[in-house]
Amino acid sequence: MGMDALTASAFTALARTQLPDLHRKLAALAKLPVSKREADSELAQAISAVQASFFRLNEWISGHSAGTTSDHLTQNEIKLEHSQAELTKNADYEDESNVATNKSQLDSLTSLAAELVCDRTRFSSIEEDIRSIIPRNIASTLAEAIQQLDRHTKQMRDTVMKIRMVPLSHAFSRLPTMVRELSAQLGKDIELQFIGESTVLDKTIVEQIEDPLIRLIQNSCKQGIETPDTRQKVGKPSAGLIKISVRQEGNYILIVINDDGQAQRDVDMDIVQSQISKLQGTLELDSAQAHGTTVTIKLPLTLAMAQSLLVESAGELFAIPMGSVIESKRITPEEIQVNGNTHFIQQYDFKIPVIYLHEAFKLDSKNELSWYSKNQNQKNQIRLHDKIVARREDRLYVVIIGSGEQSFGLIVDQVLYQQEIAIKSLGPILHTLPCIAGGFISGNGEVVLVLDLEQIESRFISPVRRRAA
Amino acid sequence: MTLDLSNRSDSFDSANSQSEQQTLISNGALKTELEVENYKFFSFFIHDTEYLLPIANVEEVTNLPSISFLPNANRFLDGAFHLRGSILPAINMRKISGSPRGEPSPESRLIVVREAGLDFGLIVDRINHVVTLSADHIERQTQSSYPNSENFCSQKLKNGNRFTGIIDLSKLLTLITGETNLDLS
Repeated sequence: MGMDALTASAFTALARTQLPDLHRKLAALAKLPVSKREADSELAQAISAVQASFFRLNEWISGHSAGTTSDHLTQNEIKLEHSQAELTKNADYEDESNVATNKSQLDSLTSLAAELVCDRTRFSSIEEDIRSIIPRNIASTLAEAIQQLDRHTKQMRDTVMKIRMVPLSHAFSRLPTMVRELSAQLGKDIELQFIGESTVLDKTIVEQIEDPLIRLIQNSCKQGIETPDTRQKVGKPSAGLIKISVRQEGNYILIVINDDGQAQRDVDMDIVQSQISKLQGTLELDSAQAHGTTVTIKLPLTLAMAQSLLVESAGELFAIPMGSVIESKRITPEEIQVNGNTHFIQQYDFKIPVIYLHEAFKLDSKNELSWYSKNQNQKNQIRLHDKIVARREDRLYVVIIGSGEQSFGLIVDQVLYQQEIAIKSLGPILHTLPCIAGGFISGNGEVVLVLDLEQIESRFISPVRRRAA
Repeated sequence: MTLDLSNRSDSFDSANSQSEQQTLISNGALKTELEVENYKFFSFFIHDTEYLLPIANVEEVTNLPSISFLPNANRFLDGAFHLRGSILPAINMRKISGSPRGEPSPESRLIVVREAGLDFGLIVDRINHVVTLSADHIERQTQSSYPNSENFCSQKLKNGNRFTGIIDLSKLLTLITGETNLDLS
């Protein structure tokens, strides 16, 4: 096939380091019993499709590289048969009526699927790297094999996500009884109404949203809704109304809890607030309106995968969750207005605050702070499609977060591309790191940090707004 | 990028060829000798000073992985790396020990350790060998043998006139997580 030594060694590295790892994950995946019947067969199909394309890839590599990988392949073949047998076995003795999927198994299934999606990205990036140095016909076969792996991995990921999705109504099941009992206790007449409760979202979120919802509804019953007498005196219908409406907005779910009770009340939101932020959600309370109180909870659809925008600042990559990104655009330094030590840009009708990411994160002093981190790029260099190019002072990008008056901008050197990422926690030692929501492992095996936009706003933008007001 | 790949293959091969090192770092093999485990230590160098680490805490030793910068992190943390899907912090042991600035070299290693259920990595300049000690070799560290060692060593090994500090991982954890007013610079 006329492959040079370098290519052969690249393949050997690929086969040695990537494939066994991938296979380990596939084998583990196949061993997980999933008991949702219809999803189960769909998942089994998806897994075997991934396995099939994995083996095509594996065979392809063995056919084109030095013989060193053949042992691995034989081993993998044995393992594959084993895991397929496991899968069939599991499918056989799972009880058809058993719908409750073991949560930790579901979680590891999800994380495996997410990792496979990342592996797929890694394969694609390897393929891109070696494309130019291998003969064209080989390159196109490889590309095809990877495309297929890509398609199947995505199918599997989607199926796993589907299993994870349950209707939000699961979290509402205890509410009607609770409201009935509280009404009787408090001598009030309270009606509870649901809208859009069949909206589905991640099982973990549905499970963990129940408690904060109960607290909020209890509060509405106790402190919000008045007794029938009081209500009649102020011209309200004697029965109070608590309305919970759910709707999807992009990658988020909005749960709006509205009651027509009294406006002024003493609400301690601390517990609820922290429960919601654990789910990477936000909570807004509007109790100043004439007709009661509205609490809006905004939750991500899923905790596992998120569409993100990759940006670069002073040689470092960061991922920005796309949910709140309105737009990103090139700007010139002249467009940035300076007022004291705060910066603004004109965004349509508004002057919005902006921060330089490299200033907020002290990226220019990175060389003093970190002695061993990779990509010790010079300050005046940036990465463009994995190539190092000169950083141009006249070419900046701003990423606009949020809309209207509440929006703000992050100034970066480069906006790279959008990517679906599996956000991982930074673990118990690093979870307190300010303004960072987590990390993911990029195609070339680097840890890339994911920005926490809420924290960036409260830390860097809110003080600016207070000063301006 | 092609270079990157061949490097990966190189490092894989070199790790294999250094079979002596492999036996040092396969914790599983060492754990079979449970009864003496507490007295087995892993020896390594920070700058030009030798230190010891209880082998029971050593999870894995690897070549320096790709380390990503952590903005606004504790100053002893050099960055984050990933090990089989988990993101973990890497401690700059030269900074901890007050040694002069170092840089990655072919001998640099990352020692992944576990303490109090937490995994983290130590960036060291060179790994040495495993030593087996009896209890009477070990002394409580009373005063510092070298700069700052009292901040992260609580015991030392006495060998004739030579003392070697034994790293206390719980002290290291305090240094990287807790507020500290120590000035080690």
